[in-house]
Amino acid sequence: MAYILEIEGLSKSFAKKSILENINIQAAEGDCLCLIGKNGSGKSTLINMIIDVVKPDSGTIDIFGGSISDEAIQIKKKIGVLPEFNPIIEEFSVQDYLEYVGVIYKLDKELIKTRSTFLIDYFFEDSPDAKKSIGQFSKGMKLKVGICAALIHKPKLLILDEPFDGMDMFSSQNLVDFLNDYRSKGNSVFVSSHDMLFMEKIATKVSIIREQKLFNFTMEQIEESGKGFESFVSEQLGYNPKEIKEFA
Amino acid sequence: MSGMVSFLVRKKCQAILDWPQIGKFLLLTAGALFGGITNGIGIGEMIDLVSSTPEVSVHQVLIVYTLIVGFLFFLLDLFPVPKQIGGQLPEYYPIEAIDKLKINITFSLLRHFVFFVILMHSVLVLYSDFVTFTNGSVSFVVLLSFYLANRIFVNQLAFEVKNGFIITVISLALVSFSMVLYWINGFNNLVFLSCMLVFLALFVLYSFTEVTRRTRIVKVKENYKKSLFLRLFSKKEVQQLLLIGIGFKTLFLLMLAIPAIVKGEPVSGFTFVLYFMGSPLVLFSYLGFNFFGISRGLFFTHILREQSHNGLRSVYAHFMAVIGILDFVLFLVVFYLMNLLTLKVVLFYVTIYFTLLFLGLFFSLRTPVIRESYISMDFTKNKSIISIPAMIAGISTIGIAYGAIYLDYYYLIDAMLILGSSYFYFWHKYKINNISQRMFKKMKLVK
Repeated sequence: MAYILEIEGLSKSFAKKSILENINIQAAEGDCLCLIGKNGSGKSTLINMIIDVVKPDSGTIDIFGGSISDEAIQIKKKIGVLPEFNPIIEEFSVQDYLEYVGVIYKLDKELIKTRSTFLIDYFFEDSPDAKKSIGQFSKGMKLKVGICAALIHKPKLLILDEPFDGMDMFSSQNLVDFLNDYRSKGNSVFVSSHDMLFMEKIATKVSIIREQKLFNFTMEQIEESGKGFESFVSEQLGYNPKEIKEFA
Repeated sequence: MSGMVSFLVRKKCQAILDWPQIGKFLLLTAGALFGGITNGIGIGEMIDLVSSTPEVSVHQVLIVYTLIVGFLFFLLDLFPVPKQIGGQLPEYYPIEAIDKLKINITFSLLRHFVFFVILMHSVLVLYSDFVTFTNGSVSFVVLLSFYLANRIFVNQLAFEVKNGFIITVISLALVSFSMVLYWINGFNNLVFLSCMLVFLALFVLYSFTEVTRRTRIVKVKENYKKSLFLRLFSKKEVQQLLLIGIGFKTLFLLMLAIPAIVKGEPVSGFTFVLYFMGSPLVLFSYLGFNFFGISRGLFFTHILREQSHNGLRSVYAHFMAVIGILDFVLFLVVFYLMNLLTLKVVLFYVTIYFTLLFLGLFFSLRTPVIRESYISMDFTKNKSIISIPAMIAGISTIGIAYGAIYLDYYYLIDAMLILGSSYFYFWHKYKINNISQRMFKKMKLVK
């Protein structure tokens, strides 16, 4: 089976301290792979390695059947990314910024206009604030700008790092609906988040990072466990409720 | 108006990004060559004219040179795109290396031009007997008016200042008016007065746009209400190292001056400069600290700041400017009081200053700052706050200074220009907006 994203034996350490060990991931067309882990567990490092920002110590990352280190430009054209640090240009309006990103991807001007209008309508819902410069946006709105920018070239593989962080409930639900629709059209989505509620609604596969190792599950396996999504993930993460003592 | 501004910005971005790669390369190369050649020719012509033609006043040459080069750079600088675009495209975009070249290269050309011209103005004013206070001040005012008009326009374009369009039109009209007046009447008291008024008016307008810009930035970055420079300067570590630098400098001066005063012997200007410049105020305060980023606490602050604010380079530039100016003023005062202030001494000082900056930058680019133990936050392995590259740069500079004492006046100018240009070239080439990222790359932690 040809995978959109195939990672084998990936390891990374910083300063001799191991961050990720022997990571294996396989995501096929139409998959939504959700990456879950505690703070500092290496989720963003893994994403940074996939998007060619951080170099792995060992292992291979194949995207669309090719190695990102060998065919970087061709592969990057098919990837849309919302990174941990969203590189927006604060002086621009959303429209300007999307046009700018569209130009980077060498899209046709009319296509940029059509897509950016659609994305702005969908994610900003005719908000008058959408016409202001991005610098005046709230955290959640800046996040939406980043998501729109990641989508402007209709990537076959969409990678989102913490897309729900700072977004209100309705906007998060809109994003969930969008991602499910996007995935159903043959695109793949790779999401890292802490938000169990929304992750459950979009995931087809779940990868949990625990103690530098990655554990992969399908949604069927989670359902078969009979524990419910949140309980299953918490158990895998090794969550132990702390006893609250008197706060001195 | 905002529509027009966004349209302009958009078109600029599109136009430049749409260019073929060779076009971008040619633009950058041509820009760099143009800057070098115009400055070089201008300065050479000035020196030649003033020294060989007594009837041509320094003032006339300065005005013509400033008008021509300033206007050309002003036009070039009207290609502004917001600063973040240049060199900041993330790795995951499908962009070839050439595309990442700084498409906003023209943004800072004028600033550097102003710096060099002011330097040459100062040199010529000191050198020439023809320059009076009146025409000397007009030279500076014309130059600064260009700069202010340019900044007003850039502020308007990037930050959509309220009533910015009118302000821009007024400022451009004022500059044009003073030029026309000069063209028609030649130099007289009326021109002098109008120049001063134009400058004042521009300054007020510029202040207005600057306040609006800063208010906007503060609004955008609520966590950075205090300027980054002040935050850096307020660090105890920075203050301590500054004091150490001043202490060392004072010590060196006293070591030289006291025996000379006691013995009643005249102090050699160059030897004095050597000790003065060789002393480590700049070395410890700026290079040792910021370029090489050795203090662990401060360095982590820097990295965090870089993550949330891409303006580290400007913080360094401010720091360098403030420390450099303080040092230079101190130098001028001391030398003037001791009656040792000559053109050659000033040139020597500036040359050595650039040598130090250039070597500092050069060594810093070749030495990883962030050691592994910094990343793992294991502070026990890094107790030293002394930077080896800073020490190498400092010792090398002192060595070069010993040789430079014997250089002739013209060779000193050449050395100063070459070192200054090299320094700015490196500064631009590596676009040190993100020093830690570069250092991470050097350590192959990232691609």
